[in-house]
Amino acid sequence: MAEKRLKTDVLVIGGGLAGCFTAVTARESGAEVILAEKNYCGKTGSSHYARDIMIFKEEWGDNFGEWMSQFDMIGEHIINQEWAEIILRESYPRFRDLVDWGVPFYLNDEFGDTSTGLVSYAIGSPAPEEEPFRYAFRKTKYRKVGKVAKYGERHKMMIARRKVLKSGATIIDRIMLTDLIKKNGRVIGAAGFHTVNGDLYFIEAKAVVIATGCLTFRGAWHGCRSNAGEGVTMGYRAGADLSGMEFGYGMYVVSDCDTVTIDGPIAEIGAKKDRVTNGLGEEFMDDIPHIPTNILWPIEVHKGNGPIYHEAYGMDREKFKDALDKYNKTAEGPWIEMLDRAGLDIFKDRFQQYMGFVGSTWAGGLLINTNCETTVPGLYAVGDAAGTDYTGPTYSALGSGMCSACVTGYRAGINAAKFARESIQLEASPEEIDSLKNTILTPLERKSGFQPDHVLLRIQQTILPYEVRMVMHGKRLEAALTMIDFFKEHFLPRMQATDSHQLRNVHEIRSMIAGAEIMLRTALFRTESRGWFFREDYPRRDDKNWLKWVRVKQDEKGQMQLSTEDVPRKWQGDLSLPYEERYPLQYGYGEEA
Amino acid sequence: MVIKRIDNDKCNGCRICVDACPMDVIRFDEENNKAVIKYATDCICCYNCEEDCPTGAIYVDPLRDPQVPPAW
Repeated sequence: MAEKRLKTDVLVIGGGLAGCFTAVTARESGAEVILAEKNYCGKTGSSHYARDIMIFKEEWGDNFGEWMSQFDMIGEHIINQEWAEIILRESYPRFRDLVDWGVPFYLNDEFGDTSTGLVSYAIGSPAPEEEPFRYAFRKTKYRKVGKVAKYGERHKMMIARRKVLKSGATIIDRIMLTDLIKKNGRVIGAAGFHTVNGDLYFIEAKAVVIATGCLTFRGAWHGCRSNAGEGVTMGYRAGADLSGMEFGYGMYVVSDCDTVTIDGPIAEIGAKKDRVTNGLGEEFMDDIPHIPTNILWPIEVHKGNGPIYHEAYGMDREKFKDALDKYNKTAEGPWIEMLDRAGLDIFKDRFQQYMGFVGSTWAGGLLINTNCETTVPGLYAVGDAAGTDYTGPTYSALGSGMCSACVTGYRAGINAAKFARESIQLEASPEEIDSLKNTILTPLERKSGFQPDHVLLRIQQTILPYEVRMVMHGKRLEAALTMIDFFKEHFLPRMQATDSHQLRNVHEIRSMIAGAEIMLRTALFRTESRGWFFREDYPRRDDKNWLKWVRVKQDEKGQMQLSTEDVPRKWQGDLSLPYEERYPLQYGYGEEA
Repeated sequence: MVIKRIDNDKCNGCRICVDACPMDVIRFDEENNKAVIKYATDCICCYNCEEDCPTGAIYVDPLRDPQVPPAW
């Protein structure tokens, strides 16, 4: 096993779209750049599986005030409007960058056309009857206020990879960085290993950018099952503040066919008569006329009315397959074949679905300012790993995750390059290097211990069930926390890695345990409900106490510190409005049901 | 369950699936110049490998093993 020492101006950790954007921009700003990716840059991260990118452009008739009020309504008055505005206003230039890189986009009207085009898509609230668009089989119609472009190429991220290489940045694949190196209060690099050959890597950099995506537990959505949040948790251990970590989300999954999320295609291109029913055969979705299956399904099941069925009879199989094949080219897998293999005939039979917990959201992560700097000097964060609070406790718009990846990546690239220009490289001390080696490699040296497979399953059993992080209650959050603390104290120091692949698993689990603790403690801390964040024991929004962001950091003694920051008054909306008007998106929880 | 097989007769040794896997499930057997399934329990059923394989040598089953605990 060799030991590699590398030096660069800007180190980017993570090779999804945000990381690629950072690398290209930093390089074009004159910095030497290394992009380290634990998988293969171009085939990794959520970006590879994403389908849409949001675009705002006033020249196309988009109304800024209307967009912001949608964002604010969906985000329930705790969104960071400064970031929301930046993401909207910079969405079009970044979209143009992608087009210049050679990423094709579909035109909505002519499905199959790979020229640059726009999709009239939907965000937001209940809409007038005449709007034709139905999203994701919900009986709700949406107001069409904006545009989303659909990727016209499944291998779009390979185009991004080529752009990174063309810019002169260096990509190192299969390098999993697990720990930041610090000196004099500043981040000066990162350490990790090659997941295939086991070589140790120490990379010294004047600025480090975390682009490792959200923090998940290999749960519901295949697109982020490789994202264990290492970047977020290594930033946390380096003393950086996190924000928005109490918010999470779920994704619908076809039971017995665990990757297929067929609902979007059914709604967009398939059945006219599809419907979702509870165990009693009732169409409960109509009772509550708003967006979030995310929380509606778990609540319905919690009431004892499960399971959830989806009926999509009456679709013509061949026609649907034809449409899906085109649709699949944008991102997704061969779903019809998968359903066949699972023995599910969705054209004839109703099928069961569940809403599975995924993890941290698009806007929760390492707290950053508008230069994408975290609270630790030399450390930047972008994309899903960054805490911008631009969406609050929900998801503001289709394609906004990809959009924020581009916008934050671009900003971080410029600012990290500038920071690198103005800084000198600090050398890591031999003691620090030794200590990191020890942290990284110890699981390999153990001759026995807890195996990653086992511990991963225990974490999933603890955090994925709906009653823990979807329909929440203080007692159950405490119970889950008790188990996670036990995993931290007992399993983690005794985990064994039999080779460099299993070492990767151990370090992913290390991150998941830290992340689970953060997500449980912050959820306990927010004693109210808001958006998709539903506390059974606090079922209403609490404007008096919780127009706030929750911040979390690790102090010098290694203790987790929770605090709040008030949402500025000007972003709190009209406090004189009655509850139902202030929160038109009712979620059917608690007293509202 | 998960990735079931890489057909040795069809595999042309191009390594595309090795790069395509986001979980390091597939490794390359240099001696025989073939891709091999090394860590099947980490397969996340994303179908990258099957979709990308230029010779159709790979078959992925749509349910993970070990199974993820369902939400309810």
